Amino acid sequence: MDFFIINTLSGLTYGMLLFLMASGLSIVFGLMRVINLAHGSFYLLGSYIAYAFVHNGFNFWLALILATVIVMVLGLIIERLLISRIHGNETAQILLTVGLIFVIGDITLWIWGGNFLSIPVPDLLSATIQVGESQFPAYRLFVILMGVFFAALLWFFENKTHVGMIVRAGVDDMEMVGALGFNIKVIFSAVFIFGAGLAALGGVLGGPILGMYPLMEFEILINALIIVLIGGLGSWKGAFIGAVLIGIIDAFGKIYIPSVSMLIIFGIMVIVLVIKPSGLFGEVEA
Amino acid sequence: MLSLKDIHTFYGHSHILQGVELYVQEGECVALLGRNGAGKTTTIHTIAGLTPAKKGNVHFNGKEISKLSPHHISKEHLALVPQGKRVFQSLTIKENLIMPSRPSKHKKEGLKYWTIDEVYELFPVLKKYEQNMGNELSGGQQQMLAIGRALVTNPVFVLMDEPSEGLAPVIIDQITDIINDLKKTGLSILVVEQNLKLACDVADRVLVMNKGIIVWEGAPDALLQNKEVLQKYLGV
Ligand SMILES: Nc1ncnc2c1ncn2[C@@H]1O[C@H](COP(=O)(O)OP(=O)(O)OP(=O)(O)O)[C@@H](O)[C@H]1O
Ligand SMILES: [Mg+2]
Repeated sequence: MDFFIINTLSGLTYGMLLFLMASGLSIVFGLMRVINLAHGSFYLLGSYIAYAFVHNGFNFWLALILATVIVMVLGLIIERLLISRIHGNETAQILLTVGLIFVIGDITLWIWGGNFLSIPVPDLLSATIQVGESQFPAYRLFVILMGVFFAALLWFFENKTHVGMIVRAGVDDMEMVGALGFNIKVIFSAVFIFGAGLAALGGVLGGPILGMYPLMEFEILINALIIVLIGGLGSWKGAFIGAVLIGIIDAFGKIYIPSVSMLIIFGIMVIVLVIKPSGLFGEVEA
Repeated sequence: MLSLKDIHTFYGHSHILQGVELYVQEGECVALLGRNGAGKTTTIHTIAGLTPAKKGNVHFNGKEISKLSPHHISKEHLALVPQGKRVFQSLTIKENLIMPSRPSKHKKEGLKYWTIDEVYELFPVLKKYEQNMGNELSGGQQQMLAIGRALVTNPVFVLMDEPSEGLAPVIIDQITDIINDLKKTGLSILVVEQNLKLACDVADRVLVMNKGIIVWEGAPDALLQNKEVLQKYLGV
């Protein structure tokens, strides 16, 4: 029983990190019809920048906030300077965002080198929690709570606020939102930096668990893409379900059938897409 | 109040509007008629800023607006009821009205001030289904919602693109009455139509468009008696 609970919690932890990185990708696609393949790079930058702050004596929480804000500013610059110029041109979007992966990857390699790095667990959460006979790190429980908190925040934001209403309307018909008096460029930028911020937050929170290493952004991107395909492009709720599903499968798969756990995830993706090509919660076909 | 001078609009390389000239006076209702593909929607979209003109001027309330973005044009109190209604499907009726609702800042005396409740008074059926999603409405209800959504921005001028499209005759009569009621509130209106009867019932003046230019202009009665124009440009 303990074994089951512990592994479920581990799966949820990983799932929540995946959720934070995948939800932004999905929201940005839903509103702007832009697949930002460099989204995983925001995750990576978040964790490296937080590492740099912690390494220089800042405390974890301050590093978390600063790294997230810095990545959001970078996201704003990238959106205004590059992405906004190629709306509606899918080939250009793919080329640009793949290019960004390599540029950002090389910059991080140049600054932080190629070794495996990790952010220490903050003191406040260094304890472990007793689950029956076993132990579970308090920090991981905190990551689960953060994931749930941000899912609740997204829900509230989407359903209970005026801005959320505008964003939902924008997913339906952005041109009409503009014609009704809203500046769609500002909405695009705001949603883009919000998504970048979520990814960066995931990166910082994942720092003590997954660490950072070169080419990690590709692993993250692939997971995030699988999640949004399963959950449905454009739907953060789908990203949430997809991420939890993959987190749990990954946790148990690694134990029972370690060699094929990735294969199972791909298998599930194929089954979902065959039954519902738009993904579990999606309206647009991938 | 609104005037277009020598408007040229392109889609890529295709030259759609080829020198459109038109004006609408304050409090006037003008109908723009023409066959499929004549360029009516393009004219409306050019005024609203969705497909800006490459050449020419759009003056609205003494201001040149042809270079403004759609949201700035909307803030000049010029509202759009688009072709195909384009109601937000994943918002409820109520949210479709709350979303664009904004207080009026224009100083035009005597113009009706539109709140969501006023829209419900005009269209009681919207109140009844206010919790329904946009995609659960009939065509006529969607048209009412599209009109209500434009009104809550408190415009002084409304562009309507084929409000009768796809609606049953009884509903078209209802829409005709509504447009006439809106005229009485002091709104200026430019309405695009293919339905000759609706256009002539609401308009003070009618424009006929063909291949991207205005080819005829006159009173509704004069149009109904002009067999040549009716046949040549409207296919009746
Ligand atoms: N997005 C577009 N790209 C290219 N050409 C377009 C586009 N939209 C319209 N056109 C062309 O521009 C011309 C005018 O179209 P427009 O939509 O203004 O016609 P309309 O008078 O509104 O017709 P309808 O009564 O069918 O709505 C048509 O020949 C159409 O094929
Ligand atoms: Mg049209």
